[in-house]
Amino acid sequence: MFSKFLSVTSLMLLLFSLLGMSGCGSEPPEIETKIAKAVKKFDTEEQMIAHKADMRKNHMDRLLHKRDQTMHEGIRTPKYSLKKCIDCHVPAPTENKTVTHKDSEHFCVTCHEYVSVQIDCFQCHASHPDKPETATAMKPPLGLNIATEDSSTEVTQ
Amino acid sequence: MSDQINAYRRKFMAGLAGVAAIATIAPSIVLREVKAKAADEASTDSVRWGLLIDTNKLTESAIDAGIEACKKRGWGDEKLSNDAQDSHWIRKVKVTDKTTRKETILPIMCQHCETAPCVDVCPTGASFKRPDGVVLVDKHICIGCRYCMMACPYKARSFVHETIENQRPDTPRGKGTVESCDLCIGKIDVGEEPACVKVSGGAIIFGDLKDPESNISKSLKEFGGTQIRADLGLNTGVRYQGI
Ligand code: SF4
Ligand code: SF4
Repeated sequence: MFSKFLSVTSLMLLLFSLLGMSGCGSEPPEIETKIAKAVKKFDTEEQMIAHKADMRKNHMDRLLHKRDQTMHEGIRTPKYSLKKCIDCHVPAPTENKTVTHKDSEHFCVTCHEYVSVQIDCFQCHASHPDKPETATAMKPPLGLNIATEDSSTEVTQ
Repeated sequence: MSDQINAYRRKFMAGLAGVAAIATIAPSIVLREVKAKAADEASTDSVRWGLLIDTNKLTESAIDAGIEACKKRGWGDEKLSNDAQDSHWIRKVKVTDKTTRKETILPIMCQHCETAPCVDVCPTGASFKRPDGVVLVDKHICIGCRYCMMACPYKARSFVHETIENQRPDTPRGKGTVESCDLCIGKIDVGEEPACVKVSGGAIIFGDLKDPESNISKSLKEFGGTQIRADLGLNTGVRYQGI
């Protein structure tokens, strides 16, 4: 049994190395290559890494919390606002193309399809920025500071 | 019922008192007609937003322009709904005085009642009044039962009957939920005037009913203002002159 396992493993390793697809972990996962890049850049690499790490795990909680704050208390800071996520992560529509939540290329959809999650945010919320100007008109970089909430005072509606 | 809700709200708001206290001493708050709160400040009951509509000054074309401006926010182009099902955030109502035969056209939107019947009847808490008096529907928790539509004496609420596409970023709306005039909440939170006020040619004043120095309070003090169906005692945030 054990030798069978070993032989299968070594065969697979051989196959992978032949195909140049070594599974040593340095390659990004498949989803990384598919997912659309955000249009804006963070000030520093650390901010970007912190943002990714936090949002990959916690985006649903962050969005839910911010949703209630905005709806019931009128707090309209850009941090964790769905509108701002969309502004940065879904490129503004061009003349030829508008990426909506019905496209597999849509930032949110890429992952949700990959992990078989069905969300209903976009039954009501706009899944892409309003105007082509939106993305370019925003002041890059956002300068999002993961540590403090008051780092971004930019006003959003 | 309403006492219970108020008690709940007070408890809820008490948790935010710290935030509000910081905000009141913030130097960025200056006295002007539309006081924008800081973006990170929670809405408080130190203001009460309202509208004052001068029906003698407001022309029918200005009402139409107001409805168009309101629709531009992202509603009103439903394809499958019939006339009875279509959303109406503002309705045009023509009234004739039997004695004088004077005809008046009124724009009727949500009156942002202080003791709002729609809030009282909502079984989920989706229909709620913000501390600054704006009555809204939290569509995340609205179950579409339409109790609020039946309770509203002003026919201000609409139910979305069909799948909506291409919503505007600032106006999320979708099938199976109820909606009404939100006093352009995203605009007033950042210190802008509501869309219908901008195109009214000065016939609609937006402002803080609690501030005696605001234009709306001054005009109310000088000329008065009528509540539609004042007999219901709802203390509406929308007042009319000339009726
Ligand atoms: S006008 Fe109708 S929808 Fe608006 S607050 Fe009053 S009862 Fe509610
Ligand atoms: S339709 Fe929605 S907002 Fe109106 S009473 Fe029912 S749950 Fe509340």
